[in-house]
Amino acid sequence: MSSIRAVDLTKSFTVGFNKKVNALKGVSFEIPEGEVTGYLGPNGSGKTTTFKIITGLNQQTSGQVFINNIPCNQTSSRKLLGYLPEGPYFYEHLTAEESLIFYGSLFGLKPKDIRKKAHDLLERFGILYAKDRKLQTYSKGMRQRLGFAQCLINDPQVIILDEPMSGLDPIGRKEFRDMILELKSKGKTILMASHVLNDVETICSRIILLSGGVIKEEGKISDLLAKTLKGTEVVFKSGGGDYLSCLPKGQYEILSQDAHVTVNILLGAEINEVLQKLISANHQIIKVVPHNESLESYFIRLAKVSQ
Amino acid sequence: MVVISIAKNTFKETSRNKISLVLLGLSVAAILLTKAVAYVSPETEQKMVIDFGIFAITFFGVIMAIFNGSNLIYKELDKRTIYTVISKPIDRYQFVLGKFFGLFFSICINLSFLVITFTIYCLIIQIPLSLSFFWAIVFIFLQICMIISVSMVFSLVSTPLLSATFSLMFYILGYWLEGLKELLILIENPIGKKISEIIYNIMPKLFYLDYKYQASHGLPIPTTDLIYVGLYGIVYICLFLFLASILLSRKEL
Repeated sequence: MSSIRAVDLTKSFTVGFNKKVNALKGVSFEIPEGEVTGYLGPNGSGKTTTFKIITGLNQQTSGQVFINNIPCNQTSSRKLLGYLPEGPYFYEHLTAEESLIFYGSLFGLKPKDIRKKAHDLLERFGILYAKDRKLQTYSKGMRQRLGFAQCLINDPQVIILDEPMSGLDPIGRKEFRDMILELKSKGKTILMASHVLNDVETICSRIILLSGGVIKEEGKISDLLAKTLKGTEVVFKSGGGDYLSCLPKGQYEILSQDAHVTVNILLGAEINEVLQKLISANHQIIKVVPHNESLESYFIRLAKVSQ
Repeated sequence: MVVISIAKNTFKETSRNKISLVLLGLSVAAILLTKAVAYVSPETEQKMVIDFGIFAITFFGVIMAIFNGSNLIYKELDKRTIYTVISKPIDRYQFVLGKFFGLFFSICINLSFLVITFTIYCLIIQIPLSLSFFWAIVFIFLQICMIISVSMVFSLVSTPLLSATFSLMFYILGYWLEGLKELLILIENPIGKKISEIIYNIMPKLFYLDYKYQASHGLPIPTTDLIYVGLYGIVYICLFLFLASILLSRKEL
């Protein structure tokens, strides 16, 4: 079952007097329940526009988005939705605790439950010590943490994260990654946009690649990258002798030669034979993995093609 | 429930505003100076004190309503704080109502403080206040509601500065219309006359809600007047809030 389903979504804006800009040109996708999906694309590709439609901030020109089978223009579709906007903005006159209590009250939750939930979330995101401080004194990272906390105040089933790692230090990024994976383990459906592709590769099982308001690629990261298979990467510790003679002529490329040697055995070469030769020549095999394109280079290549 | 939450938040926001405290201080000072103003004309002391007191209360309420009303939703859009609110299960009309009631209660608290200060002050200086005075205050509250609601409409289609200007014009025109009715008879050009008539009929006539004269002279106000004028004000407030909700629901965030 899919938690979010977009059907032929289009969005046009009028810029200036009469210039029409098509931000989304018939976008359709399905986000399966319990999956973390990366919604990727260069700046201006339509990611935030899609999120704004899903969360009721903007109205689509045509098409529909369903959240747990409820059309997104119905207020009730947002009951089980959590949203972290990019660079979240808060009421500066409130403290962190007051903010979470306010957001919780918009879901009609009981004050006692909200207080407990707010306390737990502030503790979970490491800002409990600053709960009574006005938000005008908060750093960018602290605001991002509070943004994630407010997104979870209603214990949502579907979570939309727009650039969740923005403004975070490496420790914060690690904590957010762990938090997203923890949410995934609890069966939450997460759709996230991020320009930090290493994080996407670590967290997401699926990606949707958007460019110019059109979906260019969609699917499991492993499946998409498998299409870019260039050969087999072999890492070994040289036993001292010549190892080049063990490698198939004209069918390899040396990637690095430091303490360990990394070679890519191109497609078509007999990998078992190469490994046997290396072992017989006293070279110690460390690692054998498929040599794919990284998500980053895959993304850049596709984005360039579509431009 | 949602409307109350938004209203509470708006109340906190506006009541923590330092400008409102400064204005409140100025108004209290003006109230305490009413006796000094009355020295100019000792024979009409009662009228002068009450007139000046009502003026101070109205001035504070109107400035607060225009200043805050023009910024109320604009600030939410400009600072994008609305994103984390509208993405929750709330309708945009609930947001408009919450903002309206929040600001209204915030001004109400301050105005009530001014009214109590003025009443105590009148007791001390032995100026009797009639029931009409309190009705005049009730209708000042209603006028303030009208100004808040209309400035919310303006703030959704213009900048805060323009919106504040329009709201002030709305207030001035609301009183000026009283004179326009007499001018209508003098206009000979049929097109000009028609336009003036339309303006006269559409624009809310704030002077209907003005009971300063009755208050300062201690004259009674007929109950039917209070009911009809009260309903007149409420209908306009509902219309402006409806318009603000429509405008916000069509707004791309």
